[in-house]
Amino acid sequence: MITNNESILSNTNPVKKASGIERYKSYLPAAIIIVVLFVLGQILSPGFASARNVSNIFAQASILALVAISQSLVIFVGEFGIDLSVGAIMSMSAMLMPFYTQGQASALPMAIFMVVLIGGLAGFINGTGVQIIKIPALAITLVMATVVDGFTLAFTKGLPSKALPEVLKTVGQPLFGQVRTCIIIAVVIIVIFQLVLSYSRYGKSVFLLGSNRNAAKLTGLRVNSTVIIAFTIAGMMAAFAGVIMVGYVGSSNLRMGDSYTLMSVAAVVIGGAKLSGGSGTLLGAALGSIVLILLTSVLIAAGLSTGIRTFLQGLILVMILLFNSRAPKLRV
Amino acid sequence: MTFLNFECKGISKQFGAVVALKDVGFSIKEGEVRALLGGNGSGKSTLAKVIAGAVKPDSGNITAFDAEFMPSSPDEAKKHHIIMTSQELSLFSNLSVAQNLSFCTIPVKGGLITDNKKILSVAKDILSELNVLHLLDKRIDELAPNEKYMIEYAKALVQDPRLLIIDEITSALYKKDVEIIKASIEKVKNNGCSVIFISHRLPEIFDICETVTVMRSGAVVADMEVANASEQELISLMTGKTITKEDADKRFQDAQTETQGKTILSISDLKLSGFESTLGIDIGEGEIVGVAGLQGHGQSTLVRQLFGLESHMSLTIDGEKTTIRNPRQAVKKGMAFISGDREKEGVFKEQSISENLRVVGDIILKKRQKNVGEILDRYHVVYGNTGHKLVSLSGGNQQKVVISRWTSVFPKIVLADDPTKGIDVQARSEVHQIFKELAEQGSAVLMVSSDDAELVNLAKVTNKSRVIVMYEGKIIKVLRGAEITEENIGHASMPVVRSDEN
Amino acid sequence: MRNSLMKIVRNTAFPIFVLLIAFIIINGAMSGFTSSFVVGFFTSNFALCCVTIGTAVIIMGGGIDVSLGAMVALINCIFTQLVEHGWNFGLAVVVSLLISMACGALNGTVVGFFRVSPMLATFGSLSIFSGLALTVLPLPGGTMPVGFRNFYMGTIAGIPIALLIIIALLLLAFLVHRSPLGTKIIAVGLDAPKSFISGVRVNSVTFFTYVFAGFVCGVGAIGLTANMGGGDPNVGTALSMSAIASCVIGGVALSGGKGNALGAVFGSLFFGLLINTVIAARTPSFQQGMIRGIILLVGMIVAAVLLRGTTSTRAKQLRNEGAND
Repeated sequence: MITNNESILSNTNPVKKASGIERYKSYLPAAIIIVVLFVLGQILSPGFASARNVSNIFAQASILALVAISQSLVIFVGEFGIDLSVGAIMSMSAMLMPFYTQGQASALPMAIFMVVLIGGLAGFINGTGVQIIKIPALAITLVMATVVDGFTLAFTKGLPSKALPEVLKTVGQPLFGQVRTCIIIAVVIIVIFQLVLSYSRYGKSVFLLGSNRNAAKLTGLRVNSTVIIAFTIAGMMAAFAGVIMVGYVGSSNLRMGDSYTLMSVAAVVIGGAKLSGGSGTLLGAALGSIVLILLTSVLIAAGLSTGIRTFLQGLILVMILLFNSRAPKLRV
Repeated sequence: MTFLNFECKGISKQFGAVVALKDVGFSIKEGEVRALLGGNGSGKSTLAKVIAGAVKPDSGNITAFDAEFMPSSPDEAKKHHIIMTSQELSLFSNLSVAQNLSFCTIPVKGGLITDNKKILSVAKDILSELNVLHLLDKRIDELAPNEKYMIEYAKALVQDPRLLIIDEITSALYKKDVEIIKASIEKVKNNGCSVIFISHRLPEIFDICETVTVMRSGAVVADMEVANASEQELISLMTGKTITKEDADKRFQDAQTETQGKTILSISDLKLSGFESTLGIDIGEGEIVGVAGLQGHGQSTLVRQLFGLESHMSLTIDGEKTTIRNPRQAVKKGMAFISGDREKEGVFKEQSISENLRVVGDIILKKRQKNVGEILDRYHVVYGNTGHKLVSLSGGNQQKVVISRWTSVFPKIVLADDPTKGIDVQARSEVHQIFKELAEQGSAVLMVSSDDAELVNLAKVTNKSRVIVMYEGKIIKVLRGAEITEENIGHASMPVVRSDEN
Repeated sequence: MRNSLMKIVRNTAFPIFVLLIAFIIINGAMSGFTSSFVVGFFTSNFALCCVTIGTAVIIMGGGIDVSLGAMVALINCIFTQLVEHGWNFGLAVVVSLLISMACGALNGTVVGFFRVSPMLATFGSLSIFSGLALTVLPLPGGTMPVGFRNFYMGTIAGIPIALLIIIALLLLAFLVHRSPLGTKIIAVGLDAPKSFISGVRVNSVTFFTYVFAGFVCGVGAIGLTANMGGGDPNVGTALSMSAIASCVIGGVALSGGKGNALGAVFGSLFFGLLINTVIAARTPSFQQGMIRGIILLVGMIVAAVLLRGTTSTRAKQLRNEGAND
C-alpha cells in the first residue's frame, strides 16, 4: 500500500554501508538545514539564535525525539509498521501523572512506573494485534489511540489535573549552563537505545526483520516476539515521553500529545529511515525532530499567523518529500 | 494494412553494473515464427521486455509499421498490438479467468459500464479455441501452474496481436498443452501475426519455429534458419563452448547405486500440502539428491515442508527422531534452507555482506564465526569491503554469500529450492562446487531445480548422487549414476499415462 | 438462487452489515427510532459517510489519505465565506466542489504522478489544507440561509435528504466500480507493477482516486456546513482517522484491492450508531469514549478474523507461517 521511499539523508552512495566517519556524512544535509534555519530565524527575529532560545528549541525537540524512538522501533521492524497511538499514550501519561503523584515527589517513581506499564500494555496489544491477528499496524494503533484517549478520560473523569511534584517540573530547567535536564535525559536514553539496536541480538533482529521479513523467518529469527516486543517498548517509551512532556510544560490536557503522532513519523523519515523498515538510526530521528521543531519555531519567529504557518509547514514537508522521497519508478 | 517491418538497431541496456544488452539488432517479418534462444543472462528476456515496452533501453531505436517506435510503456506497445506473455504471469490471482482475459481491453456497454456478458463471451471463445473452456468459472489462484500459463497465453491472444512474444511458457506445460499452443501459433501466423518464441527447449524450437536468433551475454551471436541448424550447434552458440561427443556421452566413474554411509535424513508417510499421496525419503551422509519434475508438482513444497514451514514435521535426523515445528527448530537441529528467490527470501537488503553472512551463526546458533573475508575468497566472491551492502554485488555473488551463510555453520542437511535460479553460468558452477564441498564434509543435500541440465551437471559433481523425479506430490522415478540424463529426466517428468488422458 | 445467496454472503460488506443490523436492533430496543432521531443521525453523520466513501476508493486503489478531514474543514470555511460575501448560492456550491476536487488533485499529483509515499504526502497536505482553512476563516462563524438548512434537514417521503445524498454518492461509487476504471483501481491496489505490465496507466488511476475523494469530501463539507450553520476551521480533525477505521471495519483491506464502498459506509454508520448505543446505554459520560474504543477494537478484530476466510487458502503466503515462536 504505502510505497517505498528513499531516505532524505542518505545522499552518499546508497550501496555502501558506510563505516566510521563516512557514516556521519549522511547526516550532513540535516545539519546544514538546521544551521540554515537557525540563521533564518536569527534574521527574522534577533535573539532567535541566542543560547537560551536554542536551548528552548532543543528541549522541545528532546520530547519529540523520545517519542521518535517509539516510532523508530516500530518502523525499523518492517512491513510498514507505524504507531498512531503514541500521541494518545503521551497524553494519557501526562494526564495520569498528577493523579498518581498527587504532588508528592516520593510518589514519582511509582507514578512513572504505572504510566509506563499502561503504555506498555497498549503497545503489547498493538503488537499482538499486528503479529498474531494480522491486523495492519495503521488500523490497530489508530483504534488503540481511541481506546487510550477514552481510558484517560474515564480515569481522570475530566477533573482538572492535580499538582505535579516540583522535582518533575525541573526537567525543563537548565542543569548546567543552558543545557536543560530533559535534553540530557533524552541524549542518555537515545544513546542507550542506539547501542542496543546496533549491538544486541535483539537490535540486530529488528533490522533484519525489517530488511526482509521472509528471509528472517527462513533463517530462524523469532519474528513474533521481536515484533511484539518492539511495539511494547514503543508504548512504554511513548508513556515516558509523556512524563517528560508534562514535566516540561507543567500542566496537562487531554489533547497534549496529539500533534506528536504524525510528527514522530516525519522525524523518523527525515532522519533517514525507510518506511518499509530495515534501516535508520536514532541519531537521525533526533536530527529529524530538531528540524521539525526548528521549522515551527522559525515560522513563529517570522510572525506569521497560525494558519499561514501551518500551511507553510505542510508545503515545505511536501516539497522535501518531492525531492527526496520518491518510490522507484514502475518501469525500469 | 501496414506491414509490420519490425526492426531494432543498436539496443543497449545496463542494470547497474550488469550489462543486459549490448548493441543488439533484431528484425522480424510479417508472419514469421522466430525462436529467441539463449541461456541465463543472455539478454533474451530483456530484449523481449524492451520490445514490449516494459523496459526502456539506454540507447538504440526501433522501427515498426514504417515509423519510429519506442514504446515508453506496455500500454503504448499494446496500442500497436505488440503483446507479450509474461514469465512471472501478469494475471491477478483474486480475479476470475474471464476478468483477467479482458483486462487489457475491457468491453463497455453504454460507454461506461463494464460489459460482463461480452467479457464472458470473449472468454468462452478464446478458451474453447485453446481447449480449456472448463476453466471459465475459476479464479486464477484456483488453477494449476500449467493452466495459469495457458490463460496467460489466452490473454495475449485476446488482444489481437500483430507481434506476439511468448516468453518461456512451455516449461510449465504438459505435452498436450504444447500441442495446442503450436496449433494456435500456426493459426495466428497464417493471419499475418509474427511470433517471437522464447524457450530453452530445443525440441520445441525445431518443431514450432522457422528461424532462430541465438543470444549470449547480451549480444546476438547467430541468426539462422532452423532447418539449417543442429541441436549441438545451437548449444555451442548458446554456451560459447564447443560440445564434443565425449562431453555429451560423459559417463560416471564408479557409478554407485546404493546409499552409503549413515542416513542423515529419513522421513516416511509425508503428505505434501495440496496433494493427496504420501512419500518417504532417505538421504545419506555426503549424498546429493536432485529433485526434478514439472514445476508445481510438490518439489518446492517438499523442501519447505521438511524445513518446518508448513505444519509440524516428524522426521529422523542423524538417527534421532525429532519434531520440527518451525524453521528455527530446523536450524537448531542442523538443517539449512537455501531459496532461489534471493530477493524475497534470501538477501537482507539493508545489511552488509558481513552481516548477511553472519546472521545464522551469530544470532541463531550463537557461534562466533570464522573470518568472513576468508569464506568469501574461498567461494570466489568478488567484493570490495565486507562492510558494503550485499546488494552491491552481482546476483551470482549475492547468492553465494547467502549460501555461505549456511555453509559456514556446517549444517547436517541442506535443503535447496532452485538455488541457482537467475544466476549466470559461471556462478552456477561455483555454487555446485560449494555443494560438492558440503557433501564431502558429510552434509546431505536435497536440491530442487527446474533446470534438468543443471541436475545432470550437479550429479556429475560427486559419485553419490541421485535424481528423484516428482509428479503430483509423489516420487515417481529415481535415477542413479549413468541414468541421469536430460532425456531421462524429461521423460520421467511427464508420465505417459497422463498425456493420454483428455 | 443459492448462487446469488453465496455471492452476497461472500461480499466483503456482509460481516459489517450483520454487525450493523445487530446494532440497529440494539439501539431500537434501547431508545426506539423516532423520525427526528433518524434525520438527526444522518445529518450529523453525513460528513463521516462522505469522507468514508472517498477514503474507501483511495484505499482500494492501494493508497491512503489522512488529509481528508482537513480538506472538509477547508471547503467548509471557503463555502461559508462565499455565502457570507453574498455569492450566488448555486455558484458557491459549484466553486466549492471544484476547489475540493483541486485539493484532491494536489494529493493525486504528489502521490499518483510523483509517487511519494501516500501517508507522508497526505500528512503534508493535511497541514496545507488546515493552514488554508485557518487563513480563510480564522474564527468559527458565519451563517447559512435558513432555506438551505431546512432543505438539508428535511425528508422526502420520510427518507432524510442527507441519506438520499449518501445513496446518490454510493451509486456514483458503484458506477465507477462497475466500469473498466473500477476494475483497474482494484488491480492497481492488488499489484501496481503487474497492472502496469498489463497496460494500465497506474499513475492516472491513482490520481483519479484522489480527485474522486476530493469531490465526495466536498459534498460532505457542504452538508456539514448546513448541519453546523456556519464554518469552523478546526472541524473534522478526527474525520480522516474515523473514516479509515470505518473502512477497515467495513471490509476494505488496507493493503488495497479488496472491499467496496458499500461496506465502508456500513462501517461509518456502525461508527455513528456505536456512539449512540453507548450514550443510550446510559454509560457514564466519561466512560463513553473508552467503551466506544473497545467496541471498535473488538469489531476490528472480529472483522479481521472473519475476512481472512475470504482470501484463497491455496495462495498461502510464507509470511503467515513458521514465525519461529
